[in-house]
Amino acid sequence: MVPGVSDNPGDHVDLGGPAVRSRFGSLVSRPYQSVPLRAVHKSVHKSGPCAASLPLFQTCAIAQVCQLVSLAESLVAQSLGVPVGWCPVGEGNELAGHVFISYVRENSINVDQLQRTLESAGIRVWRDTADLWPGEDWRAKIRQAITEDALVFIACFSHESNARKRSYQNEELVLAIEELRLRHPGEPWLIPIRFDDCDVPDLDIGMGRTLASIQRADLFGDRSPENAARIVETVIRILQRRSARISPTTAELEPVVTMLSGSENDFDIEGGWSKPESRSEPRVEIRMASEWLAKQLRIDQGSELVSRHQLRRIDSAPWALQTSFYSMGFVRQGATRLLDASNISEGMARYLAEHAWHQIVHLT
Amino acid sequence: MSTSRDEIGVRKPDSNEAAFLQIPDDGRVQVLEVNRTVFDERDIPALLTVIVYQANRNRVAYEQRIRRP
Repeated sequence: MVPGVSDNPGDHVDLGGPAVRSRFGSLVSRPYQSVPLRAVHKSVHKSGPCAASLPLFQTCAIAQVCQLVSLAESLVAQSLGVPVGWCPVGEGNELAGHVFISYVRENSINVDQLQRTLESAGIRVWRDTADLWPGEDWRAKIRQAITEDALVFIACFSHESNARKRSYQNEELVLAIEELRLRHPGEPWLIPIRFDDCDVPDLDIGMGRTLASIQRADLFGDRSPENAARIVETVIRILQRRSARISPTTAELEPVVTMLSGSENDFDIEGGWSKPESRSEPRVEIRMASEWLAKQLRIDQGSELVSRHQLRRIDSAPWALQTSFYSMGFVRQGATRLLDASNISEGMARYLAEHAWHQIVHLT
Repeated sequence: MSTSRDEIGVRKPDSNEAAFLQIPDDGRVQVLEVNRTVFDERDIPALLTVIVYQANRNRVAYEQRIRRP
């Protein structure tokens, strides 16, 4: 697959306009003409970009696509300090993720430009216009596209989007904020973008933060080209980190042996490793029991639970994600430290035994 | 006296797990999910812990005491 060329039918790529002047900005701002990619892509795939047997228009188109892609690659390489030719989604290294763009249709032209910029750098883009097909359950598809496959969620705002009282974008934002709350705060994922000097909605995203508090990128005014380049860099850095994770050395490391039979004095799962283990401070949330959780804990669906989520590392290397779910009955019986975002140093079993374990009458 | 029950399964990581464990999120590297349910004296589930490991870097082991017949 040619880097930067989408396989989606109906997608187009920028093939014309004045010469590119600097970084990614000119890719955003210049006028363009478009050629359907499917024919170009198939030809490249089957015959290679220099095939003499191709029709003239296809050969020219391929040359221009390759030239454009080559330029984008060199700009990316320059900004990231990687060799030219390096591609975040290179051969045999395809990643399942994409950038999800959430917008209102009044901003379609701006979004078209943003999409071309991202795809020129080899980044896949998910948009409702290209990725939803007749007969599909669009709510389920959008949920999957946001919560399972999105490397980055770009939320586009403008005076037009803010003026809309009802929009599918609002539903997408709700899903995205739910997903954001589950993610590690240090991992960039949701990027607000403004197409004009509008306000970013002050939506609560948890832990005292709002959508407006996330660093945004403005795609208007003098700094628009620079900001577009920064968006591309951000996405590629995420791809770069994931690409590095596929290193075969990962699988060659000695496995960690975890003894699940564990101690009779605690129900925590510990390992027998010699290197130091560390745990993050827990992220504590009050949650409604899902159908699965309700079944596991034999409680009613929708009952309140305390969830404590921690990241566990061995010798500073990522090792496991742990989430424990406790009935609110423990809290009501006095085990209020379950709600504190701090580790319980004496051990959870000891703490619960001292405060609530024997007093729980019914868990709901 | 409380008891616990472990359920172990292998599945594709979600994007959040893949990001933390530094593995691809397309399923080439699977994750091992251990669900430990702890029961109180009346055998009622009291809490559930879900732990997700990178499957190709972890092994789980049990030890069981066997009394002489």
